[in-house]
Amino acid sequence: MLSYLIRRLLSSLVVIWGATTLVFLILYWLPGDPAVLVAGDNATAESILLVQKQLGTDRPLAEQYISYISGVLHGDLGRSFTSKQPVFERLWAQFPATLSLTLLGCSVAIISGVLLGVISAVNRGRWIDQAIQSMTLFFTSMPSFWLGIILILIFSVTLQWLPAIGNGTFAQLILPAACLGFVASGSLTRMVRNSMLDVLNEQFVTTLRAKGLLEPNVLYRHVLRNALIPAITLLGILVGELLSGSVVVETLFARQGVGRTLVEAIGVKDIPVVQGAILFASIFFVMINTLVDISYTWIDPRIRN
Amino acid sequence: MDRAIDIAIGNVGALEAPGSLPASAPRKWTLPQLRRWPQRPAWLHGWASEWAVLIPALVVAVLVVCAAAPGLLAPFDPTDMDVEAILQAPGAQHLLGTDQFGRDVLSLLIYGARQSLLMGAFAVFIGGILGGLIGLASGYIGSYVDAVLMRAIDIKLAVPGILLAIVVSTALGASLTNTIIAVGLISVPRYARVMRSQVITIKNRPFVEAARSIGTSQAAILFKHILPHCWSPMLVMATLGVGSSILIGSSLSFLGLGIIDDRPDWGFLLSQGRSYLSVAWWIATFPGLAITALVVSVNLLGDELRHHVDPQKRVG
Repeated sequence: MLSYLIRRLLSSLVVIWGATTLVFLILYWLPGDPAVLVAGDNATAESILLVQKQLGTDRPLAEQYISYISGVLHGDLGRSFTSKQPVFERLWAQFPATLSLTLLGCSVAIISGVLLGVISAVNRGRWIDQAIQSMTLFFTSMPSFWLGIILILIFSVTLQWLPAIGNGTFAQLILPAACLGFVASGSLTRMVRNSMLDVLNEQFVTTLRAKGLLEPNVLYRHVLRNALIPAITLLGILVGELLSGSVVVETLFARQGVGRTLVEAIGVKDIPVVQGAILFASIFFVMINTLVDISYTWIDPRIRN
Repeated sequence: MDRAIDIAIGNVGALEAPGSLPASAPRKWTLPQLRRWPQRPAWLHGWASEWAVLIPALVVAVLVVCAAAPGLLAPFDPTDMDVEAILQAPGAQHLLGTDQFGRDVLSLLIYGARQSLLMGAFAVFIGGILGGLIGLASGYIGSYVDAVLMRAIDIKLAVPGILLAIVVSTALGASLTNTIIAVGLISVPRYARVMRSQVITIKNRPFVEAARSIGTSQAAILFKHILPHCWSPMLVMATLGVGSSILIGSSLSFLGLGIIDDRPDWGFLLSQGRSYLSVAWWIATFPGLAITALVVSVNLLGDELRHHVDPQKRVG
């Protein structure tokens, strides 16, 4: 078990390093010189050269790469080209907003996904099952920003119950989290339903029923528990979806988080901020996936070997 | 993470079935049993499955016509700005209303269909070909090639989808072609995984061994004996991938990072309508409805295809 843990953590580190390098290389080849943008419209050739020196973009690729990686290892993600603020500080200050959105969205997705999946599987073939499956199809096929627009139209514009934009209060978190969570819940609902149906076909279920165990006991103590095991692996994917979705949702609901910062930074070619934001998201994503993998072996002893 | 990917992409075959755990846990509490809803009316039975193919096929067909010849169906020129009719609600003249420039929303939608369909079709094409080749090489050659390619795929998966698409499309420069390439590239891993697991399953079958033992060349085994068995799962993946490509593409244009030119685009139209939500709900609502209708239809067809191709995966 310990050697598995160590191997798993090492491979996560390699993956994070690889992702950092990948993003570094893509951004290195970004068209347009950021120095020209930073120097302003009426910059002379000399001042552009000066800015290039300041930003360090005049150095060869290998040198830039090594200094970037060593910076990352020291927790230094460079300074923003536009605001000159340290990137790490800026992102760290915004991370809680994204984290709370992702976590609440994740809770919405898990609760609605498991609940709907169970109702659907228990009522297999009945109209409620059909209705839930259709709903799931809609959730997985709907652009998150459109669901967000509909939610804003209903709850902010028409009913005026909840604020549409900004972050800070809990009320401002509800709509974005619901939007993010419902879109992500579709795949989980399907997974839970299919996995419940698989387990219901197992022989031990027949045994449990034959020995006279009450149906609720069979369903919730035995079937659901087994059915949730494969669903746990979906959590890693879910977090990825939520992180991707938060970029869109933060922009839509004008929440100042890592995702929106990324979009804004892309617009002005603020490379250190873009790199930093993606690194943040990747590390978070890989960490969650590692945790899911490890907890999986803990929850299901059969795959430990 | 491998298992999670397999589950997320519906690659059920690669997962072992969940077995039974000891059923001797002490009884403490149970959730109340959910009320059982009445059976679906009998007349719905045969009906539903046929309509589930006909309607989405019709939606896709209409949108393909829109994309091919928008001039045939659009009541107005989408670039026509009518200052007399700014922000008009849906009515007899403008069926879906007009936007802030007085352009007809229905015409904009009809002209915008091309972008979304091109996005869906070509992104899947790029992702499927590249991913298929990687999966083929990885699964057939195995050993270090497999290890290297799969680690590369892992690294790619470490960056959440849209984030990578944003960076790639920006690096290539904002245009329809480049957005398609970006969305195609980020979908490579899922095709590679499906192809790889299928190739590994097939190459261990007795008929491949038989082919090898009578001296069939490697290339012939790969292309004549293994590849034909890989088409159907790939086709199902591709159909389902069309929907997600359209979604990612429209997210990019919603963020203003994708297609930046004068051509009407659903995602971009929606992001503009966002500013007029309180006065003109129709500008943002209808493009989203169009995207949803297209993606729902494509996914329904994909599901249907999966049922036909692989009866084992028919659950429910």
